[in-house]
Amino acid sequence: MGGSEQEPPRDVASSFDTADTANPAESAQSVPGSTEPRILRVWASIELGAASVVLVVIFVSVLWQVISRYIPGLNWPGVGELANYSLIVLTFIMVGYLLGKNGHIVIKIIDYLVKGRAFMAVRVVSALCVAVICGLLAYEAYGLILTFPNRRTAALEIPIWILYTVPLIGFASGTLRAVVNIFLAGKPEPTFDAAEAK
Amino acid sequence: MELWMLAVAVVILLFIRVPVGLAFIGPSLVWALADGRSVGFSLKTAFDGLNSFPLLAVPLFILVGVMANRLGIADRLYDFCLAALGRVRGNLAYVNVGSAVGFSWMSGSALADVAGLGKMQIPQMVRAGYPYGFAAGLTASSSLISPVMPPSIPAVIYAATATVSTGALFAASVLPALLMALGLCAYIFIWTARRPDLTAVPFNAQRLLKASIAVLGPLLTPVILLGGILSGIFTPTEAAAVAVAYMLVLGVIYRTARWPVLWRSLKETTAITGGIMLILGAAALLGLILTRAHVSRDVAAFLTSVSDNPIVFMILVNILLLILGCLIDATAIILVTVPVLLPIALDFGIDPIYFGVVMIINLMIGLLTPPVGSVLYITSSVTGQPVDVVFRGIAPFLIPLGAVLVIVTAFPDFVLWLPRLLGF
Repeated sequence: MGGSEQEPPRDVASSFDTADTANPAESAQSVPGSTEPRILRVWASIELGAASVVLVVIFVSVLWQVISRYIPGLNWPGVGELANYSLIVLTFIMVGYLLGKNGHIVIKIIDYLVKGRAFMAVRVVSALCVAVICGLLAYEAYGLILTFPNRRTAALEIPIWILYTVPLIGFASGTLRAVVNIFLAGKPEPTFDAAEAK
Repeated sequence: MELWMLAVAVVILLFIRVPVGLAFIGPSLVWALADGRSVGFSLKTAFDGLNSFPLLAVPLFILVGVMANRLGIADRLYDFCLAALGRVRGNLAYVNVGSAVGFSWMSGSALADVAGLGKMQIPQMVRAGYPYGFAAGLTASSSLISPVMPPSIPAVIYAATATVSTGALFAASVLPALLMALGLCAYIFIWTARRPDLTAVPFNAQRLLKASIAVLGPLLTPVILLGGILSGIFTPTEAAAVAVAYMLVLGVIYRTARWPVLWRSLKETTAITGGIMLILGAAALLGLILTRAHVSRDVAAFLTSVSDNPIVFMILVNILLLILGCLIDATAIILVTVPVLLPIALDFGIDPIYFGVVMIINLMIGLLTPPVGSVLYITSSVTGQPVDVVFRGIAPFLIPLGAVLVIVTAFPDFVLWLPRLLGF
């Protein structure tokens, strides 16, 4: 075992840069970046920014809970509730964003089975189903807003209907994205990279 | 609406690329309305399913992994492993496993591991003379240690679903995760024995000392995390927030915690979390429907008609989970199958903590296999090589991982030794 130097420089990730796209199904049918209209891209950055702020709220709330256990003066009963509802807000506010960016967890078996126009047809049907489901869920959220006009959360006393407006917005956004995706079915779909989310 | 119709609808929607969360919730919503539930029942069930303090650990542990990558902490672990193992034949392969073990104490996600470390390690191994398939297969396989070793995101989800102690599950996962590392090292040892051309780096004490000092901070992470949880100072969810705070402190000390880096970390975490949490909410609804339809009772009746032996039951569960793991996302499987399978496991006298560990290892192996293996796709993506080439590299590593699964399944006491020792 000689002593030859074996450690190349760090920025060698490009060793494979000349190769084709990773997934053969993706190489023909997807492109990096977003294919959404500009207004939806702006809306997407608002959704992502809001969700990121909510994530900070979750972090601070949970950390506050730890600290307040040892510093009783900081004890605030609403902090757990704030963290829990923040997670719910984060989940529903990201529905539309992820639909627009092709970022939801999807099973892509069919990508290997159908190509060309048949694949486009699958994308149209899929987007149609998503639009219907998101539309129904937005309707459910609207129903919940009407059902609980006066009820409030236990600790923070936030009106429950305000919380249900988040899924309403998220699923309405998702419906809109799905409808747009129907018309974009002929174009290569965006490849999603969470590390490059914007 | 019959239950089989709901199942068929879910499968069709999954097949035509409807996102997993929406494919679960859509037919469930129709089922609820057909069953006479009021408008809003489905969304409220999903909403309430997310209203859980233990689940807050999911985004926070994802954030820890993302920050460890972006703040250069993963690089420090890698440097340390390279300095320590430099003169061993096949050193880069062992470094790969070693840094995966180190990173696994901070990250609960295989994707964070393979996306962060894989980008750096695979090209380095290829340049050093390792075949691409071996380098990619090893990196993908070693990344599975992250979701098994605490803090494990699948463990958090299983614990919340099965209402068992997250701390106990974390403790029970340590030995199986180390056994996975050992299994991979054994494979590397056998493989490198036939490769005398793979050279080593001369030992450099000064370099090791420097790397050791640089890695001191990151090495304290598991001490803070597990020490805090096991000593009762904080819960696993709170530990996740403390770990994020600790990453921030390390970032400030290392001068890598700049605002743009932190903001990008938040956005990356949010994008990952959104997809997972929608599935969690949707699966809460689907799980409720399955429970009300007494699916668990029917499956139990079927399984006990096959055999009343717990070992046979565990073998059947392993086969089922390995198949499902190849086809469906792990989070979704945990949420849907735990309410069905766990009561049966309890009837067989099987410990829920042991059952959880076996389930997690099964599902994590599914991350490596097509058509749904996300680690397979990420490895392929970060190296720009086709999926089939990556999978050919991964295939041999399924042998040691499979062997670990067999050992863990066959010896429950091996899994439960540590939690018992710690008083869980």
